[in-house]
Amino acid sequence: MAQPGESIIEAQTRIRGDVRGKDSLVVRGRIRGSVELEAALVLESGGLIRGNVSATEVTVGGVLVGDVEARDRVVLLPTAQVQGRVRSRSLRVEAGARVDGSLEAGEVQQLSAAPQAPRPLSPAPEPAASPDSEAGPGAPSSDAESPDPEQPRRSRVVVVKKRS
Amino acid sequence: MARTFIGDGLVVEGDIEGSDELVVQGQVRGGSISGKEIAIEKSGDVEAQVQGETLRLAGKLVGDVQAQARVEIGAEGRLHGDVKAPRIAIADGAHFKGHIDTE
Repeated sequence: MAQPGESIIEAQTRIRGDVRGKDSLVVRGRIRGSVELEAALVLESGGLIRGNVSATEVTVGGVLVGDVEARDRVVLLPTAQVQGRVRSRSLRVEAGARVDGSLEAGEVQQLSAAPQAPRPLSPAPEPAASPDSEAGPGAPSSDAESPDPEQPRRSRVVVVKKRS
Repeated sequence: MARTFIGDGLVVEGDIEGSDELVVQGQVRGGSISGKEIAIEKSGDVEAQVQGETLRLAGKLVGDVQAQARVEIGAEGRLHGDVKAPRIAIADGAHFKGHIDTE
């Protein structure tokens, strides 16, 4: 159960006030107040925190109304409901998690460089890309080679389509 | 059994209520603590009113205690406050300053 250095707020327990310290903390009950830890915080499904939270690592499966700041990472589980601003070096949001607020990942100094790298979200254009439209009416042999230099992945998709 | 555990690295500034079992090794600074079975262990340091069925005190408590069943102050326990409980045990070596009411 409780490992050394790990505190637990069980489901029936309510705390009205602030919690701080260097223990990691598992919350299954309710806290109305801020939580400030030099360790990990786990807010389990069924648990509720109404207040700002800061910890090295924050895992949320319950309801959190307040801002979250984690040095290392934040994980929002499918049952998580967060209302507030979430900031962390790294951030994982699982399908089903609800967030009403903002999410910020990355270290503050590097934030300007970060947005370019992570997601070139361009899967949508692929099916509608030029090779397909050319393939129908034009010469099928040439279209498979023409996109190669720029987009090798797209050319592979085209080849698969031809075989089927 | 579900129990709330305030480890010795934790400080709670506020009230704690509703626990079936509450074990305090850390610090609590607040108005009140309530629960069924409450234990303040050796490293525990509490400033609050305490209300429960039983209280086992091996640490330090400043505040009044009201227990439906029993209060035990261990040899290393220190209590500064009034106690109201049907049964009270104060071990040899314990520090206690306050009134006792067993009615």
